[in-house]
Amino acid sequence: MKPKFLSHLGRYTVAITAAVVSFFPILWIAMIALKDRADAFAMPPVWLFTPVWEHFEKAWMTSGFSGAFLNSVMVCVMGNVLAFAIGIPAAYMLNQRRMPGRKAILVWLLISYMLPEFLFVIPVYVLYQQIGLYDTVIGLAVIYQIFTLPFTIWLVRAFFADVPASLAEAARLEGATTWQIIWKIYVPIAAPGLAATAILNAIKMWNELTIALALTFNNAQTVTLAVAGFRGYASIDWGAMSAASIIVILPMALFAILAQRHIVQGLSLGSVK
Amino acid sequence: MQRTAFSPYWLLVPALTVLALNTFYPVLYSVYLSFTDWNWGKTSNFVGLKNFITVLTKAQYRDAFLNTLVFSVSAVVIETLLGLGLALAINGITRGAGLIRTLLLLPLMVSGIAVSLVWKVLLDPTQGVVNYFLSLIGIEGPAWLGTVPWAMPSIIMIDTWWQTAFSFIILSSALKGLPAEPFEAARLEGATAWQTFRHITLPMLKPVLITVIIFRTVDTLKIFDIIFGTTGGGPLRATEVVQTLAYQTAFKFHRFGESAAISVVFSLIILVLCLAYLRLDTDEKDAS
Amino acid sequence: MATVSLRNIDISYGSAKVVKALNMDIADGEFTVLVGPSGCGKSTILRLIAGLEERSAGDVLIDGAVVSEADPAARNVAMVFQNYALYPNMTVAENIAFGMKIRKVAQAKINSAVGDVARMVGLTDHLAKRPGKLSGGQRQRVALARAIVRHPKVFLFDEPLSNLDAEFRASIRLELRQLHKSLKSTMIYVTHDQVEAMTMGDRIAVLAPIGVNGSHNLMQFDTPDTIYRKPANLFVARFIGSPKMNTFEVATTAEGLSIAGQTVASGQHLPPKVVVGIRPEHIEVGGSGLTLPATVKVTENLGHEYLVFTETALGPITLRIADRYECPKDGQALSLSLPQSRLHVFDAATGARIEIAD
Repeated sequence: MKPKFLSHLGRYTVAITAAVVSFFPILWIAMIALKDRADAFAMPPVWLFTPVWEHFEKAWMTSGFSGAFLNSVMVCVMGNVLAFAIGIPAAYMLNQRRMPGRKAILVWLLISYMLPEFLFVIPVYVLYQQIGLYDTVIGLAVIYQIFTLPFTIWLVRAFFADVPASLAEAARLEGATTWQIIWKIYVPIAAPGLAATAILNAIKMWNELTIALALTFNNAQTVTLAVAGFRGYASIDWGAMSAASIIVILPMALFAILAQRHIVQGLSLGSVK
Repeated sequence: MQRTAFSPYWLLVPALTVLALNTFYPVLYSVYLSFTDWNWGKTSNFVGLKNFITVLTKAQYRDAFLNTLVFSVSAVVIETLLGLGLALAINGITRGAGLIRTLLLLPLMVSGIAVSLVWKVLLDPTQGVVNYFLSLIGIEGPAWLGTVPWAMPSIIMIDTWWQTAFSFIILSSALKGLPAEPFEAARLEGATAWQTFRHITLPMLKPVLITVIIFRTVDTLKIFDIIFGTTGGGPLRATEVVQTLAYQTAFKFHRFGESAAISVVFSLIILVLCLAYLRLDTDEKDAS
Repeated sequence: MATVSLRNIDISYGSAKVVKALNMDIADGEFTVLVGPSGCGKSTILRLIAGLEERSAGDVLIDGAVVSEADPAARNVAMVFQNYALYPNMTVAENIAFGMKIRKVAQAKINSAVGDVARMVGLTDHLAKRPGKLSGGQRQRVALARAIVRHPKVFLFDEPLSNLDAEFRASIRLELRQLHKSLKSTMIYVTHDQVEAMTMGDRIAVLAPIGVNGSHNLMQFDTPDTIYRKPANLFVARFIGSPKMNTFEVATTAEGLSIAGQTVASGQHLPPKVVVGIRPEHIEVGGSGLTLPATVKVTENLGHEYLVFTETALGPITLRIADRYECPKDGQALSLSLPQSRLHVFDAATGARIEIAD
């Protein structure tokens, strides 16, 4: 039994080390957010301390921050709604084996997902200025379709592919229209996969920087940008900035904890198929 | 053989329209821009290939492309190997697997800006915890992000911390999905761990590995967030990469035409990579 | 209840022809079985009748009306799929009611219809369950109930028993026959299992892949009895009957067939080469008449009978011996006799049956 024990010990050592390395930096920032100014950067580091909440208060109260948080939430919701409304029927169509042009469209999706952001940013920047979508939440949600739409179609198609075709045929025989088949049968069956897709989309939109940087200013500023904005002050308020970062990380961390299985499913399906 | 009346094509139209608007318009406009010298002013003159020549010859651009390449290759190699190693090592663990996976997943959930902040604090020369730990074992840590030789390695290290979970999760899932029988047969024949890995695991993982490598390569070539958030391209352009240059050229120096040219050239490179991936992918599918 | 007719049907997948020149007339209320090996097109033909496949030529008629272009839902046919195709996110009751809900039938009517049908197939206690919680046999009944509740003109079955354990197949076969008797509907049933075909069908259509006979797939369309006693060609003769009919090539003379040195008179002119067949169950041990010496190679003990594989001058011959006799030993010499009335004769070139007077 000895080699088995050693191998297990080895595995757990690796696992725990990796977990600690992953978690520690975030923990550190959380500690800075909770320490008072003196303790925050004291060397050698102070490990035991009484938490203070003033940084969180300050971060949240900083002008525009709570607004930015709300903006991000709205963008994520709108972006997902758009992506699903357009992408689910498209994914169903692309799942039909004998659709002409299917391969070309899938390639197009892949390419549009991979192209660099700045290729899109400058033209859209110019366009949005002209048609008044600049610095709006809806404008952001629409341009985010550049990556949420292909990603959604990609994943949802893979999830739909797992549904046996005979279900659609049986429903057809009973007189169901394609629209009914998609929303009454395929979507409920693929619901966990759709949840995974929505979560992954939300994460990407929440954390997105480049496009938000170029296309928003005041009104539609996202929370990710707001954190970057803390830098602009003469002397950096590390406490507030750390607290702000933790506030930004928190929803995503919550996703990681609660939806870990969904996230893993979505990520692996996106690459395997 | 399905009747075309079965699945009405109009279901696809909204998606195709949005895609077309989101891709064709910006791409065509960018290409058009790249041939001009527009600087947000009233005038915009056609300058032929001038921007492209600048992009392909000027020393600053060459350095930026080189930096990008160095970063991309290093990051992809390290992250893939690390991800694979972690996947293999952690695969057998049952107890606490959910917790381990959640913790490993955490960095991936954090935005590039937050990652930048975190690591700027950690890598601070005097007040950063990293140098503190190093001092405990007798090493005097450098100024990391502030020094020319260590800036890019620091960025690579940050990206590794940030993105390894991606390859880990995908490879781990792929490993779980492998059939058990070939491994049992190898055990019966007395194969060592290395032999099993080399002759059975690796070949079976090949398609997934290719996917991971290509995806990460394209993503690392596009790196922007963590550099923007930490060094901004410095010190002394040591960490200047294609996207940071594109950003500065447009939004700082207002040379939109030149910035568009950078993006166009860059896009062509990425396009080649995508097509290579698709070819590899179809070859794999034909071979299996 | 309706008649179904197929006229000159051709079906191709790309450039490959799967079904050619198919003509069939199925009577009202008849239980027809389509049987054949993989690739013979039986499922494709069934799906064509349902409207799930396209044909490249020919017409499909239901109740005298041409439905070749009609939408599946408009044809008023119901289908039981091989893997049942139940909606996993709905309960049994919802699965059965789905079609009615789509057609906006009143809820009260839906409830009573579902209740009736559930009683008919014995699912009343399971109406609130999801398919995932049901056994294979129960899932099959849900699929059945879903089809029955539509009161369709034609019932289509696509290998419904192949996913069930063997012990259930026999009992469900019986239930389906009883269902047919009580509903009196036209039913078309696809299977690759010839036992199912023989026991269930009023008439059987034996289908072969295109390669067997270049010009058409339908090898014979007759009652089970006729197919067994008078197979129309070599393919049908070999397909129906387990173990397979013994066949061997035989040269003919002016007098008749020359088998193992003996002459069997036939009342007519025969082509130079024929294939003679005799079923294993019709070969006798000992006896007079047409005799054939044989050496036993291997025997299989099935409990109620023995299968004896022998080697003879005509090639390998299989026969069945009832268990009341002693099982022959390996290497033992036997004298087999082939009753002339049990011989089948086929043209060696075309495979077509040749009637010989006894």
